[in-house]
Amino acid sequence: MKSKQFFFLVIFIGLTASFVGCRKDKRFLNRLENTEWEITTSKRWIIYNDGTTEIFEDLTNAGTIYITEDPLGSEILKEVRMVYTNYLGGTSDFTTLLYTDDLHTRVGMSQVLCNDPFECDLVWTVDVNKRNKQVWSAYGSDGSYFFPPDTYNANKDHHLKWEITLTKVGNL
Amino acid sequence: MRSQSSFYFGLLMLLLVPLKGKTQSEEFVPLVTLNYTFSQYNTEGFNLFHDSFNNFWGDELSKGWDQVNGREFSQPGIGIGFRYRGLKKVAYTAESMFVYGKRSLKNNTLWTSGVEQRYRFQARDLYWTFSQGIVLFKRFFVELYTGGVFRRLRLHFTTVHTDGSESYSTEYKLNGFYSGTTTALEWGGQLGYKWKNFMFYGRFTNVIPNFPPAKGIVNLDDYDSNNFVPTEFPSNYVTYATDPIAFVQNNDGLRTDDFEGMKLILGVNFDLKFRNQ
Repeated sequence: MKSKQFFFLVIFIGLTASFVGCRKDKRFLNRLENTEWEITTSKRWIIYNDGTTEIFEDLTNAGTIYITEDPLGSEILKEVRMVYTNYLGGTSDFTTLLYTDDLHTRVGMSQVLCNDPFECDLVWTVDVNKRNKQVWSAYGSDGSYFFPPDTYNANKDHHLKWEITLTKVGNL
Repeated sequence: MRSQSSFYFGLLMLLLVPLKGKTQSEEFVPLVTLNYTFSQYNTEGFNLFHDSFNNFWGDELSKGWDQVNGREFSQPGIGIGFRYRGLKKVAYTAESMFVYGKRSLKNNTLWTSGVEQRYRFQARDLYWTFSQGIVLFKRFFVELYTGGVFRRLRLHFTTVHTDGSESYSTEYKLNGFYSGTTTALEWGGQLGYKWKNFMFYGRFTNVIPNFPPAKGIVNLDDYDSNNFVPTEFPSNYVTYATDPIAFVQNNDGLRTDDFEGMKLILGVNFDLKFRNQ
């Protein structure tokens, strides 16, 4: 190939690949597949309207998350097992499916909260996305996490935040 | 995957065309272009969202959404392609280019509680342009233009809490990542002036939006939402918040083909003349 052809080809493919691209959600999930993560911190707090906060959970080593291949082989879903002990000593141990969106702004755990197709997923905002560290946050308002009764009007008495920091332990 | 392969094969074939070189009466020239597109989209649907949201919540807001003027997606672009041109005093000329550009728009509203809701709306465009006409004295270009544009739209809607935390999560229904595409056929005219290896051009285009017809992919949707329907970004916020069934029946979501319109493009082409040509 002549140098000018190569030059043109590289520029063209670079421009178009950035536009067409491959699915970033697949890359993100494939990177998480067959990994074990420690929940190194779990914090929950109240956010008041004046900007002050009140922490009511501040745990270290709160549990473990295992992410493996989807049993049905889907490329846009992974199987996730979360073992977590909260500040009251209650333990959750569930296995479900994990998904994300195209830009992995969110990570969803399917039907953790109930069995209906809607409003039953535990949806985390991805705050930090690194190879060996993830920080995920879920929110609520007044007394309810995740899907509070009114999800339209943001004039609430206070809001809730739950933030977990995950540190990669290793590959499974 | 197959369609991507076909796409790249097509691009490769196009790349080879301009490399034939030059004869005494005509020449093929590979080009790089830089341009700026001044565009105007249809604001009716988007501003209906801003107006209906602001009116619906009224005094609950300390600051409503700002109106958009339709020029926010004016953007710089970069591209490559080729031009055929005759070298007589009056000669035929034609050009084809691929051009890429993107631009974002930001907006926010403030609730009296201090909570902020904001969106970042990004348009990423890929143009495939064709123009043909005449070149006078090897220098002045008068051409008709047609082109296809594929526009990908992404809208990030988040809630910023009073401690600074920014949420895409489910505590508010509008939170999410909405995406959609639109395609359009453009037509217009182009004037150019060549000076040394540069060609300065101005192009005016109008648009046939949603061409080829793309029913079913003309809304901005949060495809990964687990919330109840509608998962589309609204145009009419009142039906969105009060009557989801009517919202769906009336197709009250924001339409992606609203975001196409007339354009004025100013740019410069640079001839890539290699030594062995």
